[in-house]
Amino acid sequence: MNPALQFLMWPFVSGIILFLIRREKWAQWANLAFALVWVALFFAQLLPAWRVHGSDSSFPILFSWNWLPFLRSRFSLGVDGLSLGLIGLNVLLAVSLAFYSIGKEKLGSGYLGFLSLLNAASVGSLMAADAVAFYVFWEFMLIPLFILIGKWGSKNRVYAAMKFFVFTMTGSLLMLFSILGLAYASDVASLGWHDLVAADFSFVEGWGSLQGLLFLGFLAAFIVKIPVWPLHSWLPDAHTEAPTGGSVILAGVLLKLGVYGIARWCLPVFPEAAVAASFPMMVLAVAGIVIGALAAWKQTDIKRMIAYSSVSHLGFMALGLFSLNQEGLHGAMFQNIAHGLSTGAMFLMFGMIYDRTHTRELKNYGGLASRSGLLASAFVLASMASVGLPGLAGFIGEFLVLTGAFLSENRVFAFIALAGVLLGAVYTLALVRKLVFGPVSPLIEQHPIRLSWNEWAALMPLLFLLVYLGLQPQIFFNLTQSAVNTALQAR
Amino acid sequence: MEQTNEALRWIILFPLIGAVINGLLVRSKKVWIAGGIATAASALAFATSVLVLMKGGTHQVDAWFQWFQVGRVSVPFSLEWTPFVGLMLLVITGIGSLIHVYAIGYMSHEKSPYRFFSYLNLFLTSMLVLVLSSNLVGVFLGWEGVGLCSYLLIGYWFEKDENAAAGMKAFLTNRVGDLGFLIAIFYCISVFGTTEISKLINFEQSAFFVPILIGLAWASTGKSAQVPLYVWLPDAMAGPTPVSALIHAATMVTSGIVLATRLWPMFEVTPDVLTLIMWIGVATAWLAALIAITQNDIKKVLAYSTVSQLGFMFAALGAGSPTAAFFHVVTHACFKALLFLGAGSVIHGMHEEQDMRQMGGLRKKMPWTHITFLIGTAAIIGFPFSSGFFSKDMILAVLLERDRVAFVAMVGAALVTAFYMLRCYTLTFWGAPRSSHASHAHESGVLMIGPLVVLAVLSAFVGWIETPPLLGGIHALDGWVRASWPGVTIQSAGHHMSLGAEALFVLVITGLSLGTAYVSFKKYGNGLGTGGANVAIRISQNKFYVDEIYQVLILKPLSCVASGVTRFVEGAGINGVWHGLRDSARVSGQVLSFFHSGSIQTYVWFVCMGVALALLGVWVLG
Repeated sequence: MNPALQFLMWPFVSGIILFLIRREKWAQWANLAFALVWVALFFAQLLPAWRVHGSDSSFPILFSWNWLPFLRSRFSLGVDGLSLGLIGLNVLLAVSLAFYSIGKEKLGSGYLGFLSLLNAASVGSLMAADAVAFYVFWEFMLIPLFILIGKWGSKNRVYAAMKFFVFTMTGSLLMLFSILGLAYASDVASLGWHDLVAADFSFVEGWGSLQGLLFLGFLAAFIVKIPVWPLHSWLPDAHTEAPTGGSVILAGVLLKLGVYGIARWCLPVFPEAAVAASFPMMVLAVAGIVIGALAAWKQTDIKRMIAYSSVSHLGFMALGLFSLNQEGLHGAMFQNIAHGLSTGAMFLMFGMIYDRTHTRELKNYGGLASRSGLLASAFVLASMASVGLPGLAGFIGEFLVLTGAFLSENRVFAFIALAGVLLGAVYTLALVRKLVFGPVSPLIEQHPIRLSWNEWAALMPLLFLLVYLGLQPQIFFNLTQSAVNTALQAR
Repeated sequence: MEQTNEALRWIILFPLIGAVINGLLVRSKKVWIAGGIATAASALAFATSVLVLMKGGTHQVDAWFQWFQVGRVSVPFSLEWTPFVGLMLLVITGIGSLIHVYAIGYMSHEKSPYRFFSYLNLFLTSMLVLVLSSNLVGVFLGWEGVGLCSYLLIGYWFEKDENAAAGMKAFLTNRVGDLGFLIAIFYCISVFGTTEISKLINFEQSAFFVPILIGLAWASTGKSAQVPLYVWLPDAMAGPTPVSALIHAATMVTSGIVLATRLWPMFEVTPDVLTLIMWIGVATAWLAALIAITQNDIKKVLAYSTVSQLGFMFAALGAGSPTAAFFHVVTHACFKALLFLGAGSVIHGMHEEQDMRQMGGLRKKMPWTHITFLIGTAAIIGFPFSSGFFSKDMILAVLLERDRVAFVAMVGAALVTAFYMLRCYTLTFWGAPRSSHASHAHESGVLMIGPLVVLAVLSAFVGWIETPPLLGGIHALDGWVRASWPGVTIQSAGHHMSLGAEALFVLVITGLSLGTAYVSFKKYGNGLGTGGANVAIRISQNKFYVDEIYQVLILKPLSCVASGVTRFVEGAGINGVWHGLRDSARVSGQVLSFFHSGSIQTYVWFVCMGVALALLGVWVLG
């Protein structure tokens, strides 16, 4: 079987098998085994296939099947530096969550099955090298997450699930119109990524022209997913209500797909429109950075606070993308991974705390460091990565994004974003001070938090990578270089 | 002459390995083991620094690895040694090692000493990266790293909420400064395409230097505790006393001076920025000195004196003399570490009491602490022929050359220094014991006294490496510092007074010191007395209300804006608009209420229908 297809099918298959395992405990262990096999497939199948097919060429096609000839669409899968890092992150988070789930009540067959399907869908969108295939996977992501939030979420889960669904569906529909437009209103050879990049859509008449309209459709789906301010309003609700696994994948992978989508589709396929959109998008990006940070500062619900911090951080990525230069784009792609690791780790750790205390209110917490020293250290490490402390992964991306914005035509945005760097430290340290330090609160007194071996196994790889990528980021940039060149080649 | 020397990386690696062993691997609760590991790591770094120094030359490099390279940003992780850096390494690792030894004694009753010593080693690592890194991004790594360690160590006793608050204040205030550092880096990349210090100092387009140097000066006011960002340092005294000595007196807070000295050729040709720096220094020296006069907490007095002495260093830099500034860095590192460790010994002997009003008469109970503290006091007030005398003398000579007003102002500040330090010394060690703790105070153990003695010897004699013509005209330090910018000839580094002026100066200083000592003994020999506080004293006691002013002018408004944004922009505004959109469409409202059934089957059904509809649409249109 084709290695790329095999890698992609695995989480689908495991998801379906998981639905059939009724015993909670068996499902959890089976899920761990599936996740570990997925890691093996990543290293033994996908990476070698990518190397063989030319690791320097842009987006080599590893699998292709002529499924919708009338649309000029082939079901083709590829992998390149742009997606490889995110796929790796997705696999890693899947393993982390598999370890985390072991021994947890209520995290059984259905939950793990939908999580697995969610992984399949997100990896599918990362590998799709055809607009229609991409759209199918993109849409398919909605379903498992909608169910995860709606069924396994907390009190307001139905409202949050609906809001998430309506927002993202609206964005996706606009992208669907664009894809249909590509199929019927343009004369591209096919809807494959390579043909779309090679095609030259007219942008003579500005936003009313074909390229402008098509670009906006794609952009709509992506900026809802990122989410760019003011389209972010679904995110705090979704994050707050989602179960830990949903939050981790949502923050760690799904939001990143918005950034990825812009770098993969919007920038190389519609270069002139991207330039024209640069200024307004940078405005929205810095608005998100500052407003997200201010709002995060004033949240009383810990998960909501981390969610708003995501709005602010994802603003940095949008800023880097639309700086439209090497530094900004590389920075955004790196920040994608770094934020996935740090925020993933924070949601995971808070999930472990929440499993014992059952409250998200920050005011009930205090003095974690006195009772659970190692967990407290790990939380501080992830927080420091999140505020962009040099030596940890968060710094590299943030620094390059800011450099990119500074070197772009709109230097002023770099200065505004710097305010976000400061505010980021304000809310993160406020969280750390209340949660980790200070006197021990009654809540922590009553619920001593001793992490089990499998919880540490879930956390350790994330924490290790936060340090490792902070010191050795170049391995990532060597991967992304050619893909970023492609995304920027029109200039 | 550029030489490659791979030993440089070991200066950083030893303390890093020490931190990892203590923090992750051994985690020993025995202070001997934790402290022993950390001290060994620090001593090894010191030994390596000495070896590197003995290798000599003027420019050693260690190209370690490529950190990252993207577009116009190329950041190698490489280290660079110049004579100036070499001296700074000796100060950091030498005094660092002494303080590690002292800390074994001081922290002997701790529950988790491994955490303390791990942080302390990590601090050394960061500080050494800051000093050694060959480019500004690497310096920034160290710069933020020392900030992190400072944050963690201020909040070391984290159960107390005020310690956690002080740590947070330090981190955030420094972050404000760090933005300036980032801006400077961005300008370097965009204008010169490099952040390598050895390249930057060779550029001659001084017109482009201004934003870079302003940014760095701004950053330095944070890390080196200058007006307007000095407010974190006094609060930082919440940390353990060895930390106050090492981080918040001897090393980290001099980062700004280190950075400016490494980039001196850029500063030299930008006189406007220098003038700004000089006046910042003068203002800081005065403000902090005036506050120090009325403080009653012995560590607070020393903290404000540190801020004030850093002001002296800034003034020296601004007046155009990196040698004078660095000279004061060296002597200050010795005598201020000595004073803090002495204060720590007092606090230890007094059972954690820090209020000088409760002390008195300790000279008999703690003879070693007393005599070493006295030497430290003599050095900080610049008593003739102590180390502080030589460095302050040089600073004043440089100021006299540059700006008369600033000179007079700093002579005044030096006088105030003499006054508050003698007040502190008298209140602590003279008169009768004023509390039971004071009458039962005990001398500290040999682990704490040993470092005090070494530092006292250094504080007494280290000044002789650079002397005015009247006293031998030794220019060892100036020669070293001048050799520290490969490929660049600078106009001036140090400056001394003429023979006559020097002789007059020595006489005046001696007279003033003795006079101040007399006044101080008269006034404070028997404690503070009960005199009421007039307006001036109250203002000083309340630190000129600077914290309160910042609270009202910056923090409160910012907090209000954040609440407003959360409430009105996020809540009522955006969410309101979306809800309005939802509610206004009657049809969608009905659909939504149908969706709100809470039944998973309904949701799945709708999802499937949606996907099916979409696919149908594709098919039909096709």
